[in-house]
Amino acid sequence: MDNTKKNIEIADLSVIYPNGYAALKSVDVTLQTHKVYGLVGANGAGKSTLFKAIMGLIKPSKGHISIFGKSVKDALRQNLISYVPQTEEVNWNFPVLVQDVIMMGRYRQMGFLRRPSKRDHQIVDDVLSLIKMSEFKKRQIGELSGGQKKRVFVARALAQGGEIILLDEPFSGIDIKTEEELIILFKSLSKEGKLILTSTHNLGSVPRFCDEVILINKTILCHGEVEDVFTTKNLAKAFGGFLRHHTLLGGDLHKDEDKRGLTVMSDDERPLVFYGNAKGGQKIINKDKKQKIETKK
Amino acid sequence: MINLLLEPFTYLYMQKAIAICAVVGGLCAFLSSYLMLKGWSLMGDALAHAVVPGVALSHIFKVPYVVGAFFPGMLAVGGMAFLKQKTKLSEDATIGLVFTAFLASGLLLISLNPVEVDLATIVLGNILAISEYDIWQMLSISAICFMVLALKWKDFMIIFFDETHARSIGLPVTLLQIIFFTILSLSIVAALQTVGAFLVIAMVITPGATAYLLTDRFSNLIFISIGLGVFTGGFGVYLSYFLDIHSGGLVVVLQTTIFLSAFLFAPKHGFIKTRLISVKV
Repeated sequence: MDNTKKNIEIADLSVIYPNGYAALKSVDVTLQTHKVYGLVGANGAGKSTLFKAIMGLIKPSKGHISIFGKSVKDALRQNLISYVPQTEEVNWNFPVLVQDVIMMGRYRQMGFLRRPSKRDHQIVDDVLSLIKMSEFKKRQIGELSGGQKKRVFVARALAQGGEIILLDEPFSGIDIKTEEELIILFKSLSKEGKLILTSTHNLGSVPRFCDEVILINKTILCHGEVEDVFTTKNLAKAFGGFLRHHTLLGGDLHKDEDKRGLTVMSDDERPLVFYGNAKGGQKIINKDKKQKIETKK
Repeated sequence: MINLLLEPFTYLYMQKAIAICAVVGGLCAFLSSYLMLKGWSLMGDALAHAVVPGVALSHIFKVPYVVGAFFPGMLAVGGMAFLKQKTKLSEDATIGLVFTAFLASGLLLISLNPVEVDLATIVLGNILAISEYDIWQMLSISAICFMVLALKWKDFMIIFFDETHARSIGLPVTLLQIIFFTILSLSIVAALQTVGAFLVIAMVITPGATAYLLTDRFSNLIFISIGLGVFTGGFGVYLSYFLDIHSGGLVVVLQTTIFLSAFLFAPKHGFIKTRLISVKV
């Protein structure tokens, strides 16, 4: 494999749907391996369109995408991309067992008749125990809890073994425990050299989960380290007032001269908490808080 | 007694009818396993009606049934896919719109030339009066369809379960979808001659729906469904000999009876079992 280019390069990408709706306008971004990227934007900002473009589900109207130096088609053929769908997109009534779904991740490696080898079975079992779902191997997928459902599809992506993992809203509708475990798992995968791109509403988990954030609204608004990108100003720009937003100023919090205030921003679930001088000096404090809880344990 | 039970088999036309109906029943049942999982059960309905003009035309111009019926079938599938992509109409509206258009033009064609075409044969089918030529035609269609499905059932399963994943692992999704609908059109044309346009619908819904109540695993579902299709197809025609009634109707009534018993008595998803559980809770 070409080792010189281990990245996703998106250059001047525009997507206009057949009905004339421009979903993406000249998107330029390069994603590296060994990193977790958070794709953050309001509904309709083009997050899923960008995902679809990377997976070759829609043809760009302009610009191009190169994955590890290859075209999207070749990248798919070489099984470089593993995709974890949104929970809402899955037909949970489909008669498949947990182990069947995970085995679907191995199909690319199987022959014409798709008969799983011993190694395929072994991989499924390994992944099941990694994701702590071994005892649910024979369950029909609709009989699982929200967190377990998500684990199954993460397991399928792992069984597939792609270098790039795309996560579509991985934290919606799952329990905190699963969220924590998945974050740890994906962090370790990115250390091993995977490229992970996740779209999320869940602003609060971005600082802990992602190395870099990409703010999107039809085009890339801002891209960089979480601390630099996640400012109250940038988020207001990305979400254009759709965000729940509360600020408690120094005066509301205490009766001394301390001017530092507290800002809470949230799209849906876990909020993003800023603390500091309201005029530009506020910093994200979610990260620190989590560490404190961990040291207490 | 035994002689009486074996009596239908002493007639060649009964032997043929039983065999054909079992084969076609199995094929439709195979397809039904997929269709009902995607909410596409009415696609079978639509196709069965959409091929009526083709059947009429092939009667008038004396071309093989398959050729005449196949193209309108594919045209209807294409039309539905096109409307769905280019408009915001919901799936049921596009299906309804397209198949009624085809059915109506079929009826017009038949009324232009009523002597050549017997509407009742198209709508109700007549398994007992099927020609030697048609039998070979149906058997070869069925054999090819069965073979493709048996080889590629897992690929089709992935596409029906999660199309995005199928694309992400590099499966030729569009090609496989075209193949699937080609098989569906062909099977419906074959089934038209056995049970008729009305009852084909049941053949591509009921066996799969019944099997769905009995298992949580797709591979088992296919086996159960095919088993039901073959059994009801063959046994229905056999039984119709004694009862002296319309064989297509009997096949479907048998299928529905088995569905109802599965609905009541299925070990896990049956009505009685789930009732018992909810009473305990």
